[in-house]
Amino acid sequence: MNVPKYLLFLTFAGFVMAVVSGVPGFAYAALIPGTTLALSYLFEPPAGFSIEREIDGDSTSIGRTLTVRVRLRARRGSGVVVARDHVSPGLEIIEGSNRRVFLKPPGKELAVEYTYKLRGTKRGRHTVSPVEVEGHSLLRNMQPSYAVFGRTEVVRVAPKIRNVPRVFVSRLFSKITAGEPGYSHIGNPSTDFKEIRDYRPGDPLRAVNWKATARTGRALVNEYEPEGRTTAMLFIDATSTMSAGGKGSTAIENAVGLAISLVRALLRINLRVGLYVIGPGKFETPRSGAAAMENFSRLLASVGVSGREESLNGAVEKVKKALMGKEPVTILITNLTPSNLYEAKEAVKMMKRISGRNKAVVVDLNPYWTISDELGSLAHYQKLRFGEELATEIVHWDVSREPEGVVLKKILGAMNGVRHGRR
Amino acid sequence: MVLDMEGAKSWTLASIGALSSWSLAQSSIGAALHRDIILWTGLSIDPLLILLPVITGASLLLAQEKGAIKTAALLGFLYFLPTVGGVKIWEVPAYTITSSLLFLALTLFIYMEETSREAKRLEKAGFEPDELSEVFLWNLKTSSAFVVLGFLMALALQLRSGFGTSSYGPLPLLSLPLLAVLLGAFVAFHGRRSEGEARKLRKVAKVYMVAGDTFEVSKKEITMDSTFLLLEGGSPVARTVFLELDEGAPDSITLRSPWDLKTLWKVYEYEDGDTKYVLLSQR
Repeated sequence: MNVPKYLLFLTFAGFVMAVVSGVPGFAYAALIPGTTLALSYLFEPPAGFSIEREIDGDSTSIGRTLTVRVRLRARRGSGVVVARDHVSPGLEIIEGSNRRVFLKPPGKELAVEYTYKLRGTKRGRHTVSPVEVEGHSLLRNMQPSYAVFGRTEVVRVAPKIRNVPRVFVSRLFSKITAGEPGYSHIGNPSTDFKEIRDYRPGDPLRAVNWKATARTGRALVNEYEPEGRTTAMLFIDATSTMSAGGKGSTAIENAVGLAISLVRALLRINLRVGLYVIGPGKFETPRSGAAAMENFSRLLASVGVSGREESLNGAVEKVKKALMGKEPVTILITNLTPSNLYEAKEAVKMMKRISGRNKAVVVDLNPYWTISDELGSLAHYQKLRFGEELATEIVHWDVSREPEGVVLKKILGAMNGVRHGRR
Repeated sequence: MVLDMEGAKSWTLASIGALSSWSLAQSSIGAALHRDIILWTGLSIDPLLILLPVITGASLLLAQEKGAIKTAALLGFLYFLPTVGGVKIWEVPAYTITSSLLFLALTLFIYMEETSREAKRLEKAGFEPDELSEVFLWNLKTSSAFVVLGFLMALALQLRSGFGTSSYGPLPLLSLPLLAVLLGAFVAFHGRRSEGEARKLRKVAKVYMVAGDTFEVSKKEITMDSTFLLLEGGSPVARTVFLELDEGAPDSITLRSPWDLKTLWKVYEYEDGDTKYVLLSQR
């Protein structure tokens, strides 16, 4: 509805009525909308905005809160001021509101402050948009004012990482690690780059990274992965089948949570870990050490179900070259369904070829328990049959019925079991 | 309901209906109805008593079906209809007074309608209902002051002219072009003020679409008249996507996520101080 047009029409109608009927009172009455409209143009919509916004941190973890404080001023005009920003769905507003309305009275500056609290509900890189401000005139007869303040703030929400006791992991892998010289920290360096670190006495001169040293003014050396270190290659399915599951507990969410905990556990026992996300095609080459965890966390933070369809076997084929000669433990995290079973079988065949005498493990998530017990139960029995058809070590995870920590231990156990020829 | 205007709007509509009923009762329609009532019942009943409940009731029903604004316009037309071709001299003061009430009600009505519509729109967008209620009621009260001022001006003219029975010169008729000139001057003034002073440009794109909850802009293609952005990452969710664009970005942009595709155009432009804000969204 256009208020000025309506009032203008009403004014003209009054004068026309006066002429047609011969009643001058109609023309007098028409001054009511006419005067209202004329007076309204004396008051422009609220303008002259300024906004300051503070967020008490740019990173948090799931369940933790952040406080956002906004100070808004409007110097000119009068009317309704609407202020809002847009928060990513992974951040929940638990106290206050990021959408506020205020009245800017005529001839008086508006100065208000409001706060709201955010809680991270999902891991990832989330954003809080700049603050949008609209000013509507008292009589809604003028074009609203509009301004945007601040910049897009990035809030990183760290995922929950399950810890598997080091003693447990060491015990599981004792047979792999014991007596294998290549697993030692002091093994012969390979050509696989690991990181740049500070020079330590005894480092060979050829290891010095001269460019980095010149740039920083500190003696820095290139460090390479020791030869023979066991490699674990993770494939995470992020294709459309992984979107199954209840709200906030989809297969992909659980898979990513599990992958982060698994990567951490494997890095802690000094394995080289690689990661490939099937769908988006993101690949992190095998690496080890504490610094690698940061790379994996960053990569996994933004993983979601991809619109690109990539076959499971196609993904394994893609990274085959990068894994040549390493005989890695391969782990595929997926949601087996009739539609991807054939691909999974092909992928497992290929994983076994890559792994050589090592292990190929499939982790099959059942997210249907989060929808209903009936559906979960049906899927459970179907998945048992699928598992048998794959003919490899398989770990079933009934999401929401089995804690992630338990599944993590099962996976580590399965990796060990396959290593020693158990089927 | 965020701003419970329905009661006030119904009363205002009923008042406009009552004025229309009164006007119709004064006309030949009212006289014919009076005659027929005597013929059917033998009782002399004022036609206003019949027309009033019928018209107000019908108008409230019609408002629900066809919308309040259309109903109010129809009632205004019904009020005016019996006066076409002139009214009896002794009815002029009554028409003069009732027309003021009619215009007052119609003017207030548009503000009630607009205010409640805006409040509902913002409530849908997630604003706090209590805060909206408080602010918009305050805004309505302030706006009403302008309407009352106009009413007092009309009343002064009516009093001066003996409610339309004595001549008061051509002032009311002349005030129309005067108003038009004033309005034109104000609009021109505001238009001129907002042109060509901005030195900074801030361009933003806003749209509601299905995109990843943690998406990132992974690809950007700029052509002569359009920009193409690919939003990748995260799980699909219907959300508001708000992006800041480069100053040099064209006024058309296409956002594509794996699940949705939206083309945005320049929908709004505003200058505040030395900054010009341009909003791109769906038309």
